[in-house]
Amino acid sequence: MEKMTVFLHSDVLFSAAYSNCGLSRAYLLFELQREGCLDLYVSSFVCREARHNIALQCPQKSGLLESLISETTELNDSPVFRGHLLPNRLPDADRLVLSTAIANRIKFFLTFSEEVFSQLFGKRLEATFILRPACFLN
Amino acid sequence: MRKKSEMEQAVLGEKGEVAIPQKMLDEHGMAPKSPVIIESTMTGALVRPAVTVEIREFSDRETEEFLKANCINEAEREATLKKWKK
Repeated sequence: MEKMTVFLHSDVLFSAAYSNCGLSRAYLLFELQREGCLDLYVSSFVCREARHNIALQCPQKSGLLESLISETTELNDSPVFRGHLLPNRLPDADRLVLSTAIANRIKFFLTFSEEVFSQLFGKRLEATFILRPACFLN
Repeated sequence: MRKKSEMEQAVLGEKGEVAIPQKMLDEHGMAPKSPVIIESTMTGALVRPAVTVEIREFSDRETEEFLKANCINEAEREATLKKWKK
């Protein structure tokens, strides 16, 4: 059976590193990947944004973040903003990240950003479902 | 993961310039005068659009929101792991 493909937004990658392997949904995704249950993907922009914010808020976790990134597959940022699919009010950064997941036909796109993605949660854009990590895990 | 690659043949100009077919420009969101990145790969030169989007700094409120949504208790964690390992 084909493994589930899961794309992590920068807030999820950031939270996995910030929470330091504790009781963390984001970190649990990495544990599930190690068990062979799914494959984790990020993009170049996601990595840059997570690195930037960890360096600002919690620089001592930078090593852990790099270790987590090394466990994922890093995709090139999609140059095509799938404007016809995405709400106009979606900020450019989120548009770029979600477009990358859609362009690569990733099955699940996970984010903690309630405010920005509230209207997209539970929806499918082409092959990609947008979910909160809690919904995905349950 | 990506859809199958499409190929077109072209001829290099005197200065090394090449015309990218309109269909490919449209597909990749490129237009005349838009910035591109030329990457040297194992098999040749890859031309792709240069995407410039600014990195955001998470506010304290956003970080709090992320970390709150990220929390899971031990029982839920164990139950989730058990369910997924089945």
